[in-house]
Amino acid sequence: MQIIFTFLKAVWKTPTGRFSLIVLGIFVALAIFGPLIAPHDPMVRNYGPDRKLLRLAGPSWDHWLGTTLMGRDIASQMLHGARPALIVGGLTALGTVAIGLNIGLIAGYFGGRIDSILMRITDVFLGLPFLPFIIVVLSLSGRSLTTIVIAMTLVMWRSTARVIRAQVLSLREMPFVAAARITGASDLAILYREVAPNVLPLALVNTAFALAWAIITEASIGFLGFGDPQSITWGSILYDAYASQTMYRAPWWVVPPGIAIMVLVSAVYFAGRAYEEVLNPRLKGI
Amino acid sequence: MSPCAHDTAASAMIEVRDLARHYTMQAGLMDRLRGRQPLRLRAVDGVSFDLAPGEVLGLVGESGCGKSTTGRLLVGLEEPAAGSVRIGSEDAMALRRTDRRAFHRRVQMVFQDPYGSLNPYLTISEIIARPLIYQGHKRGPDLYARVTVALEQAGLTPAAQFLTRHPHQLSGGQRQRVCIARAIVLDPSVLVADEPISMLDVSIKWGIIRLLKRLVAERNISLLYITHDLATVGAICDRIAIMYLGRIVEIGPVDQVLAAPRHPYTAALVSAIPVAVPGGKRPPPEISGAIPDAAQIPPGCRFAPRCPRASDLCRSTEPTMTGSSRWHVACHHPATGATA
Amino acid sequence: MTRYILRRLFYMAVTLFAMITLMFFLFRMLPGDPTATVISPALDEAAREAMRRRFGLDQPLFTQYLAYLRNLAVLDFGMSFRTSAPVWDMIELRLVNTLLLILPSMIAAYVIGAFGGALIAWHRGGKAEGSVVLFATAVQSAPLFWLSMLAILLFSITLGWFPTGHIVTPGKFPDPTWRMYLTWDFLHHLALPFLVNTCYQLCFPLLLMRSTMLSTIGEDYVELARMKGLTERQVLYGHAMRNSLLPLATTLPMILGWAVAGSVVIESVFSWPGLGLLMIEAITRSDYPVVQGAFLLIAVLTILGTFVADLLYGLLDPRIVYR
Repeated sequence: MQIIFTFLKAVWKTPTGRFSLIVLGIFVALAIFGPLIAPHDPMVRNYGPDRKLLRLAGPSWDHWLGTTLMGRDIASQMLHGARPALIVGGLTALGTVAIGLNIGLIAGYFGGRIDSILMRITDVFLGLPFLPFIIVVLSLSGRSLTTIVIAMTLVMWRSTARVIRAQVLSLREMPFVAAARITGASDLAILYREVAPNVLPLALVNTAFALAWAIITEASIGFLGFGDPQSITWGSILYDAYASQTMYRAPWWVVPPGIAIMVLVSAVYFAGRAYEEVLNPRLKGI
Repeated sequence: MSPCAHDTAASAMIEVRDLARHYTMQAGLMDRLRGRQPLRLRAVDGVSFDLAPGEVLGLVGESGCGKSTTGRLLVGLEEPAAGSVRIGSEDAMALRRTDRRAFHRRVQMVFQDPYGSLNPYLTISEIIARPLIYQGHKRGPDLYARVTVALEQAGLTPAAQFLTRHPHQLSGGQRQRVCIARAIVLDPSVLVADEPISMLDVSIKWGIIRLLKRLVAERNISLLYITHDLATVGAICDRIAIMYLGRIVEIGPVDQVLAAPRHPYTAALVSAIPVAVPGGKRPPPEISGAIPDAAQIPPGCRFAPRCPRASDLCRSTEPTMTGSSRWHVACHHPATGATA
Repeated sequence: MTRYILRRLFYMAVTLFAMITLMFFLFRMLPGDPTATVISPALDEAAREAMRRRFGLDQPLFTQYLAYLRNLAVLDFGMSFRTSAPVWDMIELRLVNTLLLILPSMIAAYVIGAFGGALIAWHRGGKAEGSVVLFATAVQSAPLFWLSMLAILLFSITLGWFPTGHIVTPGKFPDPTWRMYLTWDFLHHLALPFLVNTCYQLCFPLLLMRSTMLSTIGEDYVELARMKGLTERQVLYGHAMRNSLLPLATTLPMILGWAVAGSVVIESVFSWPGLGLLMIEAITRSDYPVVQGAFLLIAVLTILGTFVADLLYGLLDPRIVYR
């Protein structure tokens, strides 16, 4: 918990970091309150005053972002989309780091046979084609937010594990590890109480990048039509728009979900990079 | 708990006998297929010495001679291939297997690098507290009282000023004092200091040396002081052991060995000290060549290929330690100018 | 060197084998009727029973696994449920299409990204640097399929410069041969997906190159090169950039994964008849032999790519000892 606080404080110090945290805050607020402030039911077909279905109506006072081919309110769909994006992305990032951190710590610290077995397993997962694997798993095991999180975590932990392992390999040679050993600390105590705290900052940067990548991937899954049929996501909005083959007549249908993803993911990237700069002041820049 | 309560615990004789550490060079798959023997590197090859309570033994040699490995063997950071270590009547090696914690309580170490040997993530008080916690002590006022005492004994006063700081906020000298505080907080009877001052500024070195001397005297600790720097050994050590290629070649009282070295290798090292050697009547014996590979130790006396006094005997038969009870030398032709 | 390659080859074989095994059990262990992935559910019960026997599905799992390995060894991926054609025949052509789209654009992305990143780092501190970084991050943060949709909206529909999709004008080549790839029509269809993918994929190498360069520029050897009297250009390309290429090379396997993921997405948007689109289509039709075949081939490509990247990395880094 304390590390998250330190993270926020460090990111807040830079102007870009501050800006991204504010943007992230807005998106978190939208994820919590979005469905409450949505002006319409996102799945309801809206009719105009002339009792005709509002097909592809442009933005108006009543429908800020216009309507879909089926007459559904796009702004309300957008507001509902923030929650699954952040929940799926957040859980995947957490799972990714939890697995990657532990595998990396154990492989890097114990070395030898344990390391080579774990790294061979990592190699197998590294060979799994990212999106195709997720899609195959989803098509075989059913589509829900849970299976999406599991499928994404399965293919994302591998790079975190590699990065963490490389760091642990150099940390375990540090004299402070030897110093802990000769006071009678067990391997587990050394690994989790002496070494792990020192890779947490790196793990945190990785969490940020995993989060960014998970949000984009979740949208791609939705776009390809493998998302959770029960929930409205930015990806599924774009899937509907593309499948309707009328998107060229309704840019207000296509542009907003992409912008939302782009702004959210950029904010995550910039926050991660701001923290990286704090860790390594040489990477100065915007 | 009083800081002086350990005096009785720390009065045991340390006996190191024939300690050895070999590294096997990993042979490649192809080498193994061709039936090549893996190389064996004898980093430490039969080291013996005694160390009395309150005594400081300097272990001196060039880099790669095995002095650091000897220190690491003593504190249990490496597995010895052979040999024994006794602390008083206890077999330390057996103790290490049966009760690891108890062993580590008796033997502690101060590392060369005061920057890398403190966990950057922890506060100073946590760094000193960790050894106690790893030994099974509960967190509480007692534990932090011991932390404070250790810090103050290491010369970091007032301790309260340092407790909440992180290592990167301290100077190199202060860090090394923290390392020393961490080493003494468990009341060890043996302390290994591996080049503790080589990475510090000249102005700070003597403070650390004085601190180590004081702790040895007050707490009756046996200190193995590992260094490559002969110029400082006189200031801290009671006795000195010269190591060459994994073996001790000469061991004796520091003043006498430095004044009149009997082993030609010691003589060469002494002549290289930049200050004037008292009684420097001998011309510096010339040694040539570099220290051989520890994987290919020459037959006979291992110093023979570089020795100006080497004879056929030296090249065929390995010399054994001889001499009076206090001063031993492993040489077929020792200098006899100033026998004690 | 040969030893290094041999060891890498061995690792690759192990990975490949593990992957194939994983796929076998994945396709059979997941919830649902295990035979559904091998036998078309459209058949009636008696026909399915006959098929089950023919495919050896009444045999123990391990026997099935051995048969599966034997078939893969001769590139026999089974028959498509839909067309009853051998899966391999369907895959072959699709593979070529995917490679023609992805390979050139990834190479272009890497080269442009590396040089672009080096240049903006060299001229650091200016307004241009800030806007390039901001723009690249934004593009990288956008989903590739959305960028493709915008590109179609702008360049195909509004401006009418490019076709909206497909590899050639539909119906123009009823029987596709390799001659198809030599026509203007093909290039015209290739242009837009190629450009979109290149622009998207070059952001990562660009940003990475820039940050690596920023830390390289301060190094002593760069100063030394300058003091030797080399021109700025020689210092930039010969010293600073050369040493910054290494971190970029380490990311190659990862980028390869993105390229494959990207191909699925971009082929879907542009109706590009590649492996990715084939896989998506097959999944929606529950044509599992095709799914499995396409997936395995994509996986093999990924593993091969990682292998090449490893070798390349070894070549680039003089500190790596081939053992």
